[in-house]
Amino acid sequence: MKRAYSEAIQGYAFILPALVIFLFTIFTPLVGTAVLSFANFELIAKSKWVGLRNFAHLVSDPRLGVIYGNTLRFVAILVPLHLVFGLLLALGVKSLADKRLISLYRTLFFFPVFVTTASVALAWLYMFSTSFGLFNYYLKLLGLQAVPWLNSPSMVYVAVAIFSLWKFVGNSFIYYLIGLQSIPITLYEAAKLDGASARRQFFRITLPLLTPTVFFVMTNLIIGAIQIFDEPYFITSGGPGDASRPIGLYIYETAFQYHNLSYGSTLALSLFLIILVVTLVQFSAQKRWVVYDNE
Amino acid sequence: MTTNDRSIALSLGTLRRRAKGFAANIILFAVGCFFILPFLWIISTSLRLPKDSFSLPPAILPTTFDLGNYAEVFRAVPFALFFLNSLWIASIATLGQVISSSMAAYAFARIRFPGKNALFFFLLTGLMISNQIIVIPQFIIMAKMHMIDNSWSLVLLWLVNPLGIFLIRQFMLSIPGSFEEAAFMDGANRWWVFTRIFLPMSFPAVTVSAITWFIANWNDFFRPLIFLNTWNKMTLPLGMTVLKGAFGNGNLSATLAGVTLSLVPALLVFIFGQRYLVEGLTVGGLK
Amino acid sequence: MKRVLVSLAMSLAMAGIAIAAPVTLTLGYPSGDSKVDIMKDIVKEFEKRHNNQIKVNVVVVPIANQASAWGSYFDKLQTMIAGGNSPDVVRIAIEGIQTFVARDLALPLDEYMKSDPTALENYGDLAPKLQAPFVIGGKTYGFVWDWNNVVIHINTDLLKAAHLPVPGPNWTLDDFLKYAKALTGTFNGQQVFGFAVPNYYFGTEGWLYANGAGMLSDDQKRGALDDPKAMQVIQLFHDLIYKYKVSPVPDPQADPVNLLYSGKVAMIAAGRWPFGTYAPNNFTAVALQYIPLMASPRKVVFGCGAFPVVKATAHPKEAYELSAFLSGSYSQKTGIAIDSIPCRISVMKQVLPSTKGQNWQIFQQSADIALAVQSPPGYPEVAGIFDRYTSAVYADQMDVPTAMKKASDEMTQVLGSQNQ
Repeated sequence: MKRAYSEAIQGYAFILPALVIFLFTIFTPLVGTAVLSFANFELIAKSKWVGLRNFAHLVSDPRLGVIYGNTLRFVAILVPLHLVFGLLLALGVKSLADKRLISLYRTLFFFPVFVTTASVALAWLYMFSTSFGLFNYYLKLLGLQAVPWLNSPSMVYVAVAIFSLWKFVGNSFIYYLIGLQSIPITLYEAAKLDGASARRQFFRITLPLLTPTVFFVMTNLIIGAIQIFDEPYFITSGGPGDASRPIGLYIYETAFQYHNLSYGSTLALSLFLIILVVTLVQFSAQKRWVVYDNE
Repeated sequence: MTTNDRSIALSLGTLRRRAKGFAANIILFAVGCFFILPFLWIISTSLRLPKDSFSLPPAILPTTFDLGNYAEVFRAVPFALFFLNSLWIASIATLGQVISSSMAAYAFARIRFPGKNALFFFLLTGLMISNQIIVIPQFIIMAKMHMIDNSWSLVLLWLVNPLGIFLIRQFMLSIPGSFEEAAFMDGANRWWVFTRIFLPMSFPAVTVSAITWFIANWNDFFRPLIFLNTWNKMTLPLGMTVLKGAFGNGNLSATLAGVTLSLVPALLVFIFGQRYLVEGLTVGGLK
Repeated sequence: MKRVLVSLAMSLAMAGIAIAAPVTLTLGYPSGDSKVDIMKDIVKEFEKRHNNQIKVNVVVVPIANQASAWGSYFDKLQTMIAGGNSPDVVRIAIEGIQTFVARDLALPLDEYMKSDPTALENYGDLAPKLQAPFVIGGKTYGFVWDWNNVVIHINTDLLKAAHLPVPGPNWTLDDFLKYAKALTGTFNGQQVFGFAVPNYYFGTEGWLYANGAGMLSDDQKRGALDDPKAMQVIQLFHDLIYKYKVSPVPDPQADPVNLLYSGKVAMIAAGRWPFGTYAPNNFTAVALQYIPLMASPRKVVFGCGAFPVVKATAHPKEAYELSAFLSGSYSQKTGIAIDSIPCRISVMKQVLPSTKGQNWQIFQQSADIALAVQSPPGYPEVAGIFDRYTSAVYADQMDVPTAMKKASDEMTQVLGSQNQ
């Protein structure tokens, strides 16, 4: 009994720094966001309590349906792509023999993550330009038709997928890489001694022991994709029309371009609740498929 | 199987393995080219006359070496000062994050205490609120504390990293419990187990979380925009927007020169941090 | 007696202190403008003329993004005010002044104008049509400094290659179309288009005015893009892309100025600002002309900027003097060399001839027929609606009547809700 008590104290002690700062820098502002949804907030002018008006607006906003639809589309397209390609890249790099090559690819694939999206957006806009762009130039050379990359409601998602993978797959890649590294080599050696094929090793050793990493990557990807901002903001500007405008961009525009901080907060709050529910579902589902070694 | 058959089978196996390895190399090389292409374009264009920036066929490799653009960058923006500002803020914030995250991750992975799962999830909610929206209430809090235009506000807001806690916890969960048990039986206390066993064994995860956090802080543009007023305190991303503004869209090459320059610190951090992503971290004692 | 002497001494002492201590003002200038260094020089002159009794700090306000430059500028100003270090004088353009005044951030300057008219240096020299947007509700909030309009820029290299003369001011829409078609093709191995559609609010407003229409109704309370004359213009742009194929499909965030001087497009619609890009690139092969005459009398759109005083200032009198000085001839001559047009008639005459483009005179001539761009409170949202629907039209995703009707209705809604 006493042991459990002292253990609990130790537990709280270890999480204390993170928890205290969190309460102060994230939780309180979170509550603040909720409060802002109920007021017509101006930074320096008089604020008014407008009660549920923002929520009424939320329900009746004609653009919201399309915007959430776009968000869903981004999630459905980007999450599987990142999940799979990140893994493929990590497996590929890990299988290389030359340590220097590994180091090189590791830097190369992770590098775009580093850069601010703003700075590389220029280059990508140049590549995707319908009339003057690099991609269409090469397509025309090959005798194919120019693609309206950023001017068609469907192609714009292809463009975003390409850009998104280039810019952000390094994230999943690096997580997978360290996850793969943490699998003890002894397991593979033992399996080989038992005559297991590479395929069998992959499905019986690698994949199961990788599930904690996969869970992490997938949860992170979904939370990120629902809030996606960089790609639509810098590359597509949400267009054409509203075709590629997700909720993350809409919140930003509402709050910072149209000065409607309170409605923006309302939108952010509703999004928060959605993400919360989705993540809760993922966490409860993990018991079924994630393998932990000694929980 | 005759000896002949067996050697054929072996060499076929080797051949297949080599072919697979070869294929992997080709594919990785192709993907690598795709990744480096935009950067080559950025660097080449920064060395070129702006008029030729967007011409077709595209010039991926530098054709001229006009360093005047780089001089322009230093003239227009106090690059070194902004660089240092970004550096100290990001470094301290990252250090703080490493400490708070690894400690919390260890607790969530290895210690039993009531409300553990709920608290873990609670911390995770920090990832679920729109980054830009939460800045407004943060601003109000900082204003009330009179910390506006104080660079420490930028550090304070970056000391906790829910994703880092999540990542390191996942990693620590995969560490076999036998280590702990052995240490406890030898009379070690929790802190020793944490710092001498779990932390070193989680170095890859800690390093990755430190690197990604450093980058995120380094590139953060929104918070410095709102929290800083004095020109001299500004960070590099802010300086970059001034650069873009100063040249409008006209001097693209100079803007790209600025972009190239700002890549250098990030690259250095990553190269430095790579050592900790070492292969096969099976620290002695496992076998 | 003693008490009188003491209070007299005290008042003298206080007056002495008031005279001795210099006042420090802060001037806020957005980072997107390339003129911060010039501003610093200009304020030094101001300090000199006031015997260093008034010091001015130029504070650069970083802009979050070019797309909503004024929006983020405002937010930054508000955070600065909320944080306790409000600038005293700020640069505000016509797109922002209505909102600035509506939020009660601007100081009316009329009483200071009356008590100290010399600071203004001949108020009448400010072109009247250009100054008008800064007089709201009968109160003056700023003195205009620079302005810009929308005309057609033509790349004369491409013009020569197509064997065409520079068009005259009364060229019609048919003439324009002939030019656009002739200028579309291959030149030096590169694909060239005749005209880049102005897919931005200011540029389109220029064409709408030229056709006798406008983005909004005259009272700026309703959207007017569903007016047949307005739809004509948008339909024209759409046809230029898809029917006549003389215009490229506009890419998001593409800048027509780049397209012109790199020779990818022969004509664009812009004001004097492209010269800020032409000059450092030594591009002089450009000719200017009015937008084709579609409706009489001709109206040219304009936008302008000034330096209003922030209401929260602690030194209104000095701030007024700075604001007035900044619109004075020294400031305009020094600060507006290349990429915008000075608002003082006398300075226009001096500065414009250095423009390195044919027909530079139209910059000055148009001041007399200029009509302010419609920038109501809620401008960012209105411009956002415009962007959204035109991008759908130019991507051939929506037909013009549907898009313009929807745009107008949404604009009307936004304008109506501004008073809440």
